[in-house]
Amino acid sequence: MFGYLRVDAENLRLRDYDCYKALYCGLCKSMGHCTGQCSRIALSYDFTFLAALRMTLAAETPEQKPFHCAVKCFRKHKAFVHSKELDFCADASAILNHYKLLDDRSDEKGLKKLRAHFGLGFFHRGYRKARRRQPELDALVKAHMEELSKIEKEKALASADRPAECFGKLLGEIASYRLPSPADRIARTIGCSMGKWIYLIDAADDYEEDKKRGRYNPFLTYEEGLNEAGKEDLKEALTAYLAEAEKAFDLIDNYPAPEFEEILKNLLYLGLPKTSLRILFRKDDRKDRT
Amino acid sequence: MSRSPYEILGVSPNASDEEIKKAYRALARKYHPDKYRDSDLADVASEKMKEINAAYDEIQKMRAGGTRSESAGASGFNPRANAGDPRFAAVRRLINEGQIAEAERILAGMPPTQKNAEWHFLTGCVLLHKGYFSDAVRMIDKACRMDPYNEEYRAAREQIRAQSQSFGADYQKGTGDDINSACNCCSSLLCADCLCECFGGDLIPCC
Repeated sequence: MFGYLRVDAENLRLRDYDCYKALYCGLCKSMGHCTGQCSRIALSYDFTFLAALRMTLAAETPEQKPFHCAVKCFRKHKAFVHSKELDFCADASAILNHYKLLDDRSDEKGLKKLRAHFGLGFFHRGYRKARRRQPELDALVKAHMEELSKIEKEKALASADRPAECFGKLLGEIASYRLPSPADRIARTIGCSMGKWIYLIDAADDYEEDKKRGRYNPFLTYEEGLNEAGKEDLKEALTAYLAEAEKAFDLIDNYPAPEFEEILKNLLYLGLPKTSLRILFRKDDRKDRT
Repeated sequence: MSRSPYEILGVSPNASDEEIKKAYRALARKYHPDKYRDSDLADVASEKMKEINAAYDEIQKMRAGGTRSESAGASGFNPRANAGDPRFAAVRRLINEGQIAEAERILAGMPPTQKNAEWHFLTGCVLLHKGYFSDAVRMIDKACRMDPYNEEYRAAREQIRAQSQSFGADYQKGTGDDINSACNCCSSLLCADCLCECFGGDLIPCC
């Protein structure tokens, strides 16, 4: 379910891209000291976006500091440090990852089940730390994930939007958690539409495999499944979710760092539409161009 | 937080009236109540709208002249009741009044034999209001297939399509085009200069 919220790096200015990287590295560092070194493997672009969104809405501009990194060890890299929002995103990432693995362990079969099983053990320490720091968030995520798996088990229901809405709400709650008003409502709307978008694009991505293996997929509840015409329709629906998010983005007027504005807009207008085209029609721009 | 009216409109204090009007129009389009009709953030947007209206009025007053010509034309969901099933008319009225849950209950309670094109269309409208876009598109599509000559269903379908096509158009237009046109202008001047030099003339004396 993770890794779909990416910027379109080709169309980002260099200084904005540097800021994005600093955010990514900053989140990784935050994960290291908030939820333990093991949890850094679970670093994802989705939470980088969430961090950019929350830092914007909380009007936080932490300092950037150069540091050495174990993965890219030859050069110093800049990263945001001492950020409350990045620490929060690190905790949220550990908690969500834990419940995702729990879900996989109970629903999947074979290799994936095994992987979820070991993953749970591997990330458990990080999850415990995150839960200790954010007990309310943990309860919130737990409640939403339980509801989601309940909806997914009601197989008679022919709707992809019901489960998507549930996931959207969860992301909305995480995005808006303890932000001042009215920023929290903007964050909730953005999180909610982005969550729906992620859920549906993930479902479309896994559709063929789920069909083959007889697993749950929201589009399998439709009598016609997800055919070519259905993909065209889905593309429009996905754009409608993005338009919904756009309305909320338009209401943000204080960008603490101008780079964040570029990152968020690039993601919304270029990154996400590109991802949906790539996944729905297996279209790769890079291959098309050469 | 007190900002000057010029800051609110994002223009400099010595901007021309034309520029201010343009900035105001752009912001008014951005926060237009019609756009946020179905959104939870409608009140935040209307706050912003009030703020820019006040800022614009204040600038107008300061400059002592000009009257505002913009007014919000609200358009609603087609209220006209069809001659068909009275329950559909009731559902249309409920949707117009914003009682989506009630409308949904009535629609869900209808027996499968009465699920005609209009039922699918209205269910699609209810889903749209709830923000269930992918289910809504499916329902309205089905309504169009069941009754291909109905203007209303087709118009709703077209509206969703148009929205999806116009998404992000402004952003992509804004990235890099103006730089390109400036470059193009310079390179065409250079070309013209070279051509002139071929024929013994000179357009740009220094090169």
